[in-house]
Amino acid sequence: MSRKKIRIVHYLNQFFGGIGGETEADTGLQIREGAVGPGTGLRQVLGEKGEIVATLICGDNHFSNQINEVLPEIIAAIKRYEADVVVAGPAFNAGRYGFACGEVGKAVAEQLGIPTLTAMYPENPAVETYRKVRGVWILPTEAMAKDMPRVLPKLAEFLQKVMSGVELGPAKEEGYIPTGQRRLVFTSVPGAERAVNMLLAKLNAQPFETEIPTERFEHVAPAPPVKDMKTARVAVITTSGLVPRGNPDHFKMFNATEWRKYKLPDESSLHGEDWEVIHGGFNTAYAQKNPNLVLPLDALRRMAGHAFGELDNTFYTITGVGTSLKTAKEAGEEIAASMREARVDAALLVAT
Amino acid sequence: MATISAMAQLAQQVGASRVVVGRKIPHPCGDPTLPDEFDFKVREEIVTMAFEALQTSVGAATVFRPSHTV
Repeated sequence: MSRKKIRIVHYLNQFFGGIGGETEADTGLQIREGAVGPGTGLRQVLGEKGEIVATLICGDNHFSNQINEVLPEIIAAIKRYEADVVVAGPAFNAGRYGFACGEVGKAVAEQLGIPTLTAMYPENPAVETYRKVRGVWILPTEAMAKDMPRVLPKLAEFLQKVMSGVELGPAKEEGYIPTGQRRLVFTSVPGAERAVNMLLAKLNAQPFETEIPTERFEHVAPAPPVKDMKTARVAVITTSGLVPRGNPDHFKMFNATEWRKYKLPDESSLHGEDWEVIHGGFNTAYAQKNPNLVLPLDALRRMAGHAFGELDNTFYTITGVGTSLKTAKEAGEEIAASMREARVDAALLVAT
Repeated sequence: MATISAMAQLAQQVGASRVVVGRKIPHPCGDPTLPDEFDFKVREEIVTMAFEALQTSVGAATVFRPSHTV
């Protein structure tokens, strides 16, 4: 049976494209016929199965600075070369290159509906950003490019599998980085029995594998201590969903996607009649009656000027229940930026 | 940043750097089952410990236990 060769367009940065290192990172998009750099190795392992019809090379800085201009050019080229699949990278642990590979894959998936294969180091920040994009497959690599000879055959093999149309198995069987997709499968052992088996294994210190992996928390290095609390400007965050009476920004009781900041009253304490606690995860009756229990304004007012410098008159609030890690992380980054602008030296977070 | 939480162990497990043990989940800063002045005292002690935590150098997630007098 003769099958037509898989048509591949390959995306590379300036370094792997052979143009140059960091000094050439502003190089604009170049389009070459055939394989270049790692593509030649990929072509060798693919043999008659596939053909790299064109290689797109772009400087990493040019890509991120001119993304709105360069992405349409890339998409147009991939279309023009009638690619069946796009290969981007491998990017290893290169942050900007990984980002470019992810962005190319995302745009290709959305606009052309064909798959993109890339490979990078699992801790490359682009992995977290793009691994859940449908149509983008990321294979794991070591951090350094010396891993190339090992990666290219895997990439070639995986590419053929993706293009063969057979349904791919789970990430750990197929070797790609988990995409976060769950698929319904039938097993001979019912869920209750599997759960009990898992529990027994756990109790007996035997290995077992969860069917619902929880999100992993990244390690954040603790901030250095506050040098002088007596002059420090302090701001408060509460995850209790405390909002002004009337809930002006329509906080929801669960699965918060947004945070807000509100002004603290000039008074020495918070009064229940002025506030609402929008939270579906704990009994809000106490906090509703006395909001100082979730935002200790009365104690802070009493202590300002001696135990610490001054209180920022803005407080930050979110309903912390069922909030996804992604939302929490984004909210944290935005709140931190807002505090930096307000020249806050230290933050108190009250978690309910 | 210091985190005041009644679920201090959980906060520590997920890597919060400075965790101050709060009273109860629905009222981390204080104890409404006590008379008002004692409730306030509990709150003040928790915030005091939070300031102490903020001034302490920590290498990993660390739990600070307020010294409650009530």
